[in-house]
Amino acid sequence: MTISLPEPDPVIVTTTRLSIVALLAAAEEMEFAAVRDAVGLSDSALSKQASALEAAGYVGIRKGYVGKRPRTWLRLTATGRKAFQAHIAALNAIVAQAGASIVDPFSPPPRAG
Amino acid sequence: MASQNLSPEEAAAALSEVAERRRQVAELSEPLQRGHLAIVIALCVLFFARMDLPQRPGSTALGYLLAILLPVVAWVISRRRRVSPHPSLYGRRGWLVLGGVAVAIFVLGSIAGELIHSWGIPLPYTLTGVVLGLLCGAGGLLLNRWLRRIMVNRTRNATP
Repeated sequence: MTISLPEPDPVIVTTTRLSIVALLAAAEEMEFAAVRDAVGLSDSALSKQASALEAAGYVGIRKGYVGKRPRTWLRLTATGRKAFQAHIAALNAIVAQAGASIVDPFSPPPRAG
Repeated sequence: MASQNLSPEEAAAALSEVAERRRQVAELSEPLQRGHLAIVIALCVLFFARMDLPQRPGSTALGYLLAILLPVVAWVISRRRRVSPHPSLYGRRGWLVLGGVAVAIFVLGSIAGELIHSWGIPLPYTLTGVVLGLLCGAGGLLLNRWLRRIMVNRTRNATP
């Protein structure tokens, strides 16, 4: 009998998009420049990825000002968080099915001693 | 059998990437902004100082206005942050520490206020506000450092 694994999310399966979504999942909100610097993308490359994620309903984009300077903030939507959690579960299922240890990015390290 | 899209090795690498990004956010975050602390200090002083003013109908209204202003200003400052950590990064210990420090500041501020008042010092409530504000400021800076350490430790070395 074949057991079908949950499928990784095709929207965030690429390394770049997963990196962006993983950053936003650990934050309430992040400034565009902070995401760009953290992931190592150019403004245009990040803008393109953010637009695609926004179109998928995973990311919300807010524009505002700090002083007189325009700024943009990115955040993961409720849909995006759900999709991200499902994607993590799928990744863990793949790893577990292969008999390897599960990588849980949300668990604190085990205490020593 | 691997998923159609990802091999186990690719899945493991993706999970490690996620853990690394989470750690990165913890290190970039400033849980309590300095702007927040400055506003809290200023509002503490104003909130208590109005009680040294001669009793007038407007002084109670001023107190309520300041009580509303504090969370509004804090919210506005939050919206300008470069990185706002998700509350899940703090963990239970982080939230307990936050609550404990808030209670400690309130208790110490109340004791200070009672002492100043009992000594007959002029402008007792203004001084209470200053003491409470300074406690908030100093406590806030220490708390910031502590919370950041909690976040980084929680995210560092995710279980492989």
